[in-house]
Amino acid sequence: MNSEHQKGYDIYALGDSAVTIEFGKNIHPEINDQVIARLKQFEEKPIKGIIDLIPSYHSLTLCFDLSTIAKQKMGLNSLIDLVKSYLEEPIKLQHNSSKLHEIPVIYGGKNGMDLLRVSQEKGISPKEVIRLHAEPTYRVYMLGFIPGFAYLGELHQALSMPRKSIPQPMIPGSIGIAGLQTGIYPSFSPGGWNIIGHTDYPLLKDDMPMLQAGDRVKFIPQNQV
Amino acid sequence: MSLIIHKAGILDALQHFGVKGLQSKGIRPGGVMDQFSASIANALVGNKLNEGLLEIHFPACEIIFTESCLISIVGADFTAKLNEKYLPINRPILVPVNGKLQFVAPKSGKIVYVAVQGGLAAQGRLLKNTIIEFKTKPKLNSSNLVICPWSAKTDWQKYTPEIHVIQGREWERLNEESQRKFCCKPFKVSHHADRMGYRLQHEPFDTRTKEEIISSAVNFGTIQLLPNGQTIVLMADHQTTGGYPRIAHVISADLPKLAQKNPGDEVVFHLTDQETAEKEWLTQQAHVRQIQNISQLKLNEFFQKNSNQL
Repeated sequence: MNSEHQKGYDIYALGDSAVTIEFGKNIHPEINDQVIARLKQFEEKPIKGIIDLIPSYHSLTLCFDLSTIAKQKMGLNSLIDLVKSYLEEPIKLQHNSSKLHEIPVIYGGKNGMDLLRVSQEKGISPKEVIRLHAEPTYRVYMLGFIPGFAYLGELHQALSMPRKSIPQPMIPGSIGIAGLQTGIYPSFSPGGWNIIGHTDYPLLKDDMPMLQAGDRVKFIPQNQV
Repeated sequence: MSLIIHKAGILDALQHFGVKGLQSKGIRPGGVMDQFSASIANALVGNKLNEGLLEIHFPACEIIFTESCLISIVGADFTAKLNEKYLPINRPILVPVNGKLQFVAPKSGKIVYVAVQGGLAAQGRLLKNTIIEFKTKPKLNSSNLVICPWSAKTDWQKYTPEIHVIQGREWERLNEESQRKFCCKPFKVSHHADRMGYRLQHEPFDTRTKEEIISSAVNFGTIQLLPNGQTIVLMADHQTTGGYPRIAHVISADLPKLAQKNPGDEVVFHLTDQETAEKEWLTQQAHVRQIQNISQLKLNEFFQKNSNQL
């Protein structure tokens, strides 16, 4: 198995036609900065045969066309060497210079049905739940799960809740929390996160997500509970 | 110039070959489940290999062709009939005007592809009364059904339980006994098997650690270990990222074979390496291309010889 730990990254094959670079072992804004910066590097100077790039919290995966790989001498291994040479190049990290989305939220009520349960289980008032949720400026760590679902972090420790054991139907704009994450469902979907509010902020435009990995998000409460 | 879905099947769609370049936005690639069969279906009617085509499960839809056209049926054998006459798979077939295509009984495999010469416009589910226009007007006009006298060889691909895999990032999470079981014991494909993933049936695997992993990319063929010790192989409509340990990955060349497994069918995983995965893929691609080249020659010859009758 291809795995190497040096210079602060780990690189391994994800099946026969993809390579993942892992920039750290935990969820941290600086590690995610590296993911986003390297994503841009590979987008701007694509390697021949790259068909997709998948950034996550702490890793970047490059998907290749297997025919292109297999026709090269040394196959995927030669590509891993090429990827490593990209990683040798110094990269400029962009801290907090990316787009800020100010997202209005109606907390609680019919479309925020779990607010009171979260409040009860955590032993804090609904007003305090809202304050703690709306206080930070979140980072979009990654998109995944369904088109345009943005994973935002980090949620205040005091609001950390397990996922529901049975997924429930979600409507677009539902704002949920799970673990140390918060997120917004962009479309109808089953989901297991605890829903504390709702927004009308446009999340998809022509089916394309409005939030991008690296963007920042600030929730603006629109109501008192 | 179209075909009409006369009766809907359960899960049929006009399928493409996958959206590329959008996974960074959480948009899954999707596309055909069995790329091998789909490519051959296209090759047999002289299309480019990645032309959109019908992906059909059983119980299957019924199709009426309002115009004479050349089609092929490749993949699963669901006992196809055209206007009550049995049709073979893996051959070009000239369908007469108002030909009604039905699939009456599943014999082998899970998914069948129907390609139409020139390709089909749009994509999406095949619901009752869906009309799909042909991209180009067929140059044919036949009032008779004609089954071309040559066929593509596809059987080497199917029906053995062996599926080759490469170790995944979290392979070492399985304890030694589980690693041994994973590699040689036959597992059954469970009833939870759809375009998103095929769950397998086996005794739960034991792990060295239950520590969660941080969500990261997954791929078509990634085998995830679920918290209850069960496994799922991610298929064409997989999510872009996942948080379950990735214990192994099915090699690309064996994905078509796995896609054709029905619930209850056996699979046996064999560990292999990258070099073999690449070699197997090139062999498969060469086979497809050979069929494409021969098909083109045969089709030209056939249409020249029969030009006065068509």
